[in-house]
Amino acid sequence: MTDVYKVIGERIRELRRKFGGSGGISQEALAKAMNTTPNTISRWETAAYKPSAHDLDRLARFFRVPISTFFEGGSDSRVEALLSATGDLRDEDFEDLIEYAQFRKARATLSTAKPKKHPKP
Amino acid sequence: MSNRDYYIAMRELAHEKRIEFDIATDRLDLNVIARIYKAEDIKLDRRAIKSSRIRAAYFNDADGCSVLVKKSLPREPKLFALVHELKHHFVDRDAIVAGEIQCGDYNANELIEKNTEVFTAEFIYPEAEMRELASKVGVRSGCSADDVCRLKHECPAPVSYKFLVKRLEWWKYCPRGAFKRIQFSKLYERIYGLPIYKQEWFRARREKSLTSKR
Repeated sequence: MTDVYKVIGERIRELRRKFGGSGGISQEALAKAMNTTPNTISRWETAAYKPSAHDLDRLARFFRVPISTFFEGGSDSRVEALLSATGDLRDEDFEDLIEYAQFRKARATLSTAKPKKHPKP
Repeated sequence: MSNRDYYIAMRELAHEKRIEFDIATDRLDLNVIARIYKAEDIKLDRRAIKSSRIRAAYFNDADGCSVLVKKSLPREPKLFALVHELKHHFVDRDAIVAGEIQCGDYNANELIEKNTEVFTAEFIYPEAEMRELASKVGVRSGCSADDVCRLKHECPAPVSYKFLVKRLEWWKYCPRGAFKRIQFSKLYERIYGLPIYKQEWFRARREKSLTSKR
């Protein structure tokens, strides 16, 4: 099985380097935008640190890509939800739901990728 | 199941769940709802939602069970939306997992949605309790906007003006849409005065404390 965090790290680096169309964005600038340290960005990219689903969500919003970009296999945007909306939904309403569905998928993928904690003796 | 049976069943379910989770109307708040979500193993995600038509959504699939709720909702509508989604969890989850109920298909789900509102209203503020309060404060058929404010002032439940007005309309205490143009918060302030957080001395003190922190 491919290391999920390694793939995520590669995608973060790729997006960072392609950001803005020219020279990309530095780890320092990204760290500032993400309200974290350049060290954390660097360690996410090398898979030394494990970003949470919330971190990926923030990165996805920053780079304006779906959160599924950070995973192999792309997105499954099928949304099985029941809404408390008060009428039929429009296409733009679904954007929020698809984004959330992808966030859930990312969270589920990360929870299976994390090694189980050993119980204290 | 007929519409009437569904309606009765949802009201009964609301009463059962109130007993199960030891709900007291005057102590019901977002923390209590969060506790129920935890007990039911539902993940609660408060997120920014751009759409003005979505308040909350219930998801249940292989990735688990979760509810998305609009972060910016005020306390009362947020509580209402979260209880609304709880009903979907208690009653409709099998149909959702089986794909029998599809996202956004409101017309097809109208009966479900209407009865979900019945469950939600009864769970948050049982009709009998509100009737008792209405009779205590003298709110009856032909009630005015001032009466709604008085009811809200005395009301122990975390409910909005919209909630109270809908119930009063349902009881035929006022015609449907009679208070559509009423700005209840302003009216309330005229009757009972400004809330503390809007008062000048409080604003000045808060501003002073924020400035000193900077």
